Amino acid sequence: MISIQNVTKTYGDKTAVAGFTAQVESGKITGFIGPNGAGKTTLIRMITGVLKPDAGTLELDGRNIETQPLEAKKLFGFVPDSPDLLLRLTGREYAEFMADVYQVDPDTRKQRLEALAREFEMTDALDTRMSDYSHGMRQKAIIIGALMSDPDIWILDEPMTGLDPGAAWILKQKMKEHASRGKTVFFSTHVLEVAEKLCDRILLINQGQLKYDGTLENLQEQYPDKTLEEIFLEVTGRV
Amino acid sequence: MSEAWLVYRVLLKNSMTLDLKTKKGRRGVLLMAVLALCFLPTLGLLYVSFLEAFRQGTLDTIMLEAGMLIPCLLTVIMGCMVVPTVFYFSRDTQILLPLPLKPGSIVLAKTAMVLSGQLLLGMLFALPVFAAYWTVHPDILRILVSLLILATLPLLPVFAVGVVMMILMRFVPALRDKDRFNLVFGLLTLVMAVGVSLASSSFSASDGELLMEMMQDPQGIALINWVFPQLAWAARSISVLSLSDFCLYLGVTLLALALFLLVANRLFLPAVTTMNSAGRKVTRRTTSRQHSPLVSCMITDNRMLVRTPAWFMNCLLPPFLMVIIFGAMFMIQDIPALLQSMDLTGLAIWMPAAGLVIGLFISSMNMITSTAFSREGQNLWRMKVIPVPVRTQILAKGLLGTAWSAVSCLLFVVLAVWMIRGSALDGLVMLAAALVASVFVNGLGLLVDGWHPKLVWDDDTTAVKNNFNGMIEMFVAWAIILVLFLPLLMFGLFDHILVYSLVVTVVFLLIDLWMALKGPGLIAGFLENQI
Repeated sequence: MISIQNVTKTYGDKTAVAGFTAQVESGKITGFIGPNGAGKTTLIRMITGVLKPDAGTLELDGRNIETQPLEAKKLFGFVPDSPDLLLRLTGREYAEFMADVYQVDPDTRKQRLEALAREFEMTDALDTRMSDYSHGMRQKAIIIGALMSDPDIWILDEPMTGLDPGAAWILKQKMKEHASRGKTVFFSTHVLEVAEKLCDRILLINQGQLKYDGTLENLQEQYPDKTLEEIFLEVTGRV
Repeated sequence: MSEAWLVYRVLLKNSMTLDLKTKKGRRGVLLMAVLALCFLPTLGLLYVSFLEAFRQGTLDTIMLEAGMLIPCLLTVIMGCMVVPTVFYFSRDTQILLPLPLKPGSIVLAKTAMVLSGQLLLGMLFALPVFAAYWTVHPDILRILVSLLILATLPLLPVFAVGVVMMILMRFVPALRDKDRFNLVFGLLTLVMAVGVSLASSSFSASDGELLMEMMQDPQGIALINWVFPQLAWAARSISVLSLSDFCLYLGVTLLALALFLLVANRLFLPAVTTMNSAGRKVTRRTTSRQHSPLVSCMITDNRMLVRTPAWFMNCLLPPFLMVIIFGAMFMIQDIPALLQSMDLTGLAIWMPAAGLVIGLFISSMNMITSTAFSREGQNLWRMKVIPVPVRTQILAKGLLGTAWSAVSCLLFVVLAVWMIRGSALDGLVMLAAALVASVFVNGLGLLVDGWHPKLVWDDDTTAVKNNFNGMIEMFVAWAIILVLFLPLLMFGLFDHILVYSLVVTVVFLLIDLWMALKGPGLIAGFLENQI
């Protein structure tokens, strides 16, 4: 579970996130949606320990990200919005690096890497440098790296970007499977159809504030006869 | 033509950062001014040498040929890198190709881009020679002809090397990989530059008579005329105002331009649309053993450093080049023989001091730690996400830089011990002092780059070139060498050199300990504001 309590972050005069409070529950897939510049990436960066909130607390499975950073970071696997990391490494070297930092033993990492590479159809590309990968292949390599430690909490920032339909389907299946095991999946997306089909719960953010926290069914009950897209536009003040 | 001009203007504006209204532009102008100042002594030396030679009054034609050889050689060396970079490896090519532009327009625009830089370079180095000639022969007609030649001198070498490079790029698929190309030709360029530097240091350039003696060597002249035939025509156009030679010079230059454009139009598109298609040889591996997070971070950083050509050549290679340059210089100047003839007993007490100087100097050439965080760029946040303490990752970066410094220091120490016919103990003492100094310099590099890393860059080269952190590390290390030397002079401590250098070594050791224990925490605090 991710517990976000009254988190605030300001940059000078601009408030990027204001008094954000939410619980990302285990056993569910929680979608995080909002327009560009709403504060999604800022909040994700605070959850993952990249940024310090000006106020509030963030806990991952009871570990405070500020006071127990290492313990908290061992609990999640993070997929950033840009897969252009360590491009001179091969896919295998990147996965092994992630396995080392999460201290995954050699036998487990070997099996896990083979399985993940097979699922994402990356087996033949593992020993090629990531600089030679397409955008989608890099995304897959980053996802594989994030899953090498089989973390309880998945934090994915727009993970579907660049993935071909097959790989996107595989990732969605894995997200469902992970949540069904009682684990936590928290992902941000711009693609409302994905949120509609995948999420058990959504958090909608606009201008740094939480606008909606609940299930899609409840949201649609509040806005009857409207598509998710229309609801989104109305809630974010675009219409 | 207007299409080509439009593309050229856009490419030029995109590549030049000389807009004085922006901070980047002002920095670009400042950098160019500093570079120009750095070149002034060399250009002044050229002027003085050729002035003396021209004042002799004989062999003006040959001296002009010799003077024009320098810019031609420079443009050939630079052209090997510039032509492929502008035509094949620049990002704008991928943007231009889908546009409704005639390929010929793109070729013309890129040719103009290449010439913009190369002409400036060639003219800069030819100007002192011509200025010296004008001083001795202030003839208006000769000045006019030589101005025309000055403006066109680099063209033929650029076109010639451009044709060769385009043929290579078309028919040698392996070269179409940017990394491989940068590494191969970067190293070749360095080797050539080092070779030229060593060759020029083997004679006194201010001796005009020596220059003249060299130029009277028929084989040397024949070689120049064979490699750069246009130099003889250009020289005679000026010295004897030969119209036929001038026409020949211009005609061949225009012919070379036509050939270049023909080859470019034929070969550019087929090569550029198959870039990177040769692929890299893939070695299948199995998953390796587990490493500790510290070692894993070092391995990963090392892979990035070695596999990124710009980082390899600018950060890792320089200290090793220094060892080669010094070794070659010592051999050329016959220093070992000179040392053999001297009484070197009692040199042992100088070993710690020598080691300190080696450690400070050689390690300051290594930009690994002074660009450690800059090279992370916009991905610096990665250090905060992985479950490894930031201090451990900082320590890993410091250890990596120190390890490479240690290797280069070791090579230098081996060279020094061999030259002085020292003992193994001399070598060990020198190496120990060098390592202590090396840890200090690398720690300093980490502090500087942690305080103000250059994180915004769009290609690997920019992360390390124009990065003042490396310069700061170097200048501080050199300043420390100077500061340490001053008390020796001021207080006549040469007789107590052993004690002095041991005390200094202990001070460095204490600083190193502080850096190792407190440095990572301090730097982590600096980085907190950067991420």
